[in-house]
Amino acid sequence: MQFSIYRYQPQTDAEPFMQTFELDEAQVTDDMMLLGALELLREQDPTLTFRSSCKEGVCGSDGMNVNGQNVLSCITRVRTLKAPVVIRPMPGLPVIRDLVIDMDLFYQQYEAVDPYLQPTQPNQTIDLDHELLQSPEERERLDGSYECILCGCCATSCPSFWWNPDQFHGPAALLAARRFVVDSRDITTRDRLEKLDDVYKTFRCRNIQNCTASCPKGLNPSQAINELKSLMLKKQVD
Amino acid sequence: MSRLLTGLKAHLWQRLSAFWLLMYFPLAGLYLANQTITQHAQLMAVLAQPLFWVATLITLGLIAVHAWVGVRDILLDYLPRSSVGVALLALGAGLGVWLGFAIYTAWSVLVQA
Ligand code: SF4
Ligand code: SF4
Ligand code: FES
Repeated sequence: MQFSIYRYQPQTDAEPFMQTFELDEAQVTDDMMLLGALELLREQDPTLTFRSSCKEGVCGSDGMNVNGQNVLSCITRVRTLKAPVVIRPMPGLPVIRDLVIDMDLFYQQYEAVDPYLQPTQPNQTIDLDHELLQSPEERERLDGSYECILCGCCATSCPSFWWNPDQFHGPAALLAARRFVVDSRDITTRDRLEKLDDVYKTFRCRNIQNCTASCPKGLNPSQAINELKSLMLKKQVD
Repeated sequence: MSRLLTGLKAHLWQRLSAFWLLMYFPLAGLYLANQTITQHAQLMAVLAQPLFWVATLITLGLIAVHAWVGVRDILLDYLPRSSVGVALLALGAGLGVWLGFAIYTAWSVLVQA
C-alpha cells in the first residue's frame, strides 16, 4: 500500500516535498489504524515526525489531513482509505516539522473565551461546603460541547479560521464558549455573550460547516455557533 | 471602521435589509408596470406618489446598509490585514457619496413632481 507524506524540516529543507512510502499489503491488517501504519513507516525512516499519545481518540494530539480530510490517525482505519494515502499536516497553521503543526493560535483562541466555570463574582469566595447543583436537564444542555478534545480538526478545516486565526475564535473555541454560556452554574452569561458579539470573534463564521463535517468526536460546532447567535439575540430582547 | 455596525446588529440588519429588498423590488416593478407613462411630468408624478417615494427612500438607505455589511465581510475575509483599514474607509466614503447622491435624486423627484 502506498503513502504519500508531506515532509518538511524548516531548518534544512528549502521547501516542503511529498515523499512516497510503501507498506507491504500483508502488514496492513484489517483492524490497523493509520497511526499504526505511520509507526511502521517511521521504522523505515526514523526522521518521519508526527504527534500521538493516547492512541484511542481521546487526547487529540494526532490530527492530520488524510486524503483531503482532517482526521485523527489513531481512530482512522487504513483499509477505509483510498491508496495512495496522501497525508499532510492540518492546514492553516505553521508547520513545525513534517506533520507537526504549531497550534499556539488555536489554543490562544480557546483561552480567549475563558473556558472555565465562573460561579461567583470576582471578589466573592466560593462556598466549598455546598455543591453547585444542577438538575439533570441543566446538565444535559452541556452534552455535545464538553466532549471536545481540542484536536483542532475543525478549526484547521475552517476557511474563516485560515484567514483570521488571530482574530476569529474558530469553531472549537466557540463550542467551548457555548458550553459555558449555557451552563446553569455560570453567572457571567451576559458578559460572555457581550464579549462574543464581535465582527471578528464570532461573526467571521459563515456557516460553511467544514467544522462539523471534520469533527472526529461527532460534535457540531456550527450548530453551537448558531445557538450563540440566537442567545445574543435573546439577550438583546430580554 | 470595521466596528461600525458589527456583530449581532450587523447580522440582523443584513437579514432585515435583505428581506426588505426582496419585497420592494417585485412590488415596485409591479407598481411601475401598471402605470402609463408617456411624459416626463407623468413619470415624476408616479415616482413621487407618497407611499412609493417613502418606500424607495427606505430602500436606498437599506441598500447602503446591506452593501456595507456584505462588502465589509468580504474585505475582512479576503484582504491582507494591512489594507483592510484603507479599503473600509474607501467603501464607507463610496457608499456615503452614493447615498448622498441617491437621496438628492429622490428629493429632486419630489421637487419636479
Ligand atoms: S461553520 Fe463557521 S466555524 Fe464552522 S467551518 Fe464554517 S465558518 Fe468555520
Ligand atoms: S470540536 Fe471536534 S474537531 Fe474541533 S477540536 Fe473539538 S473534538 Fe476536535
Ligand atoms: S493519539 Fe490521542 S487522539 Fe489520537
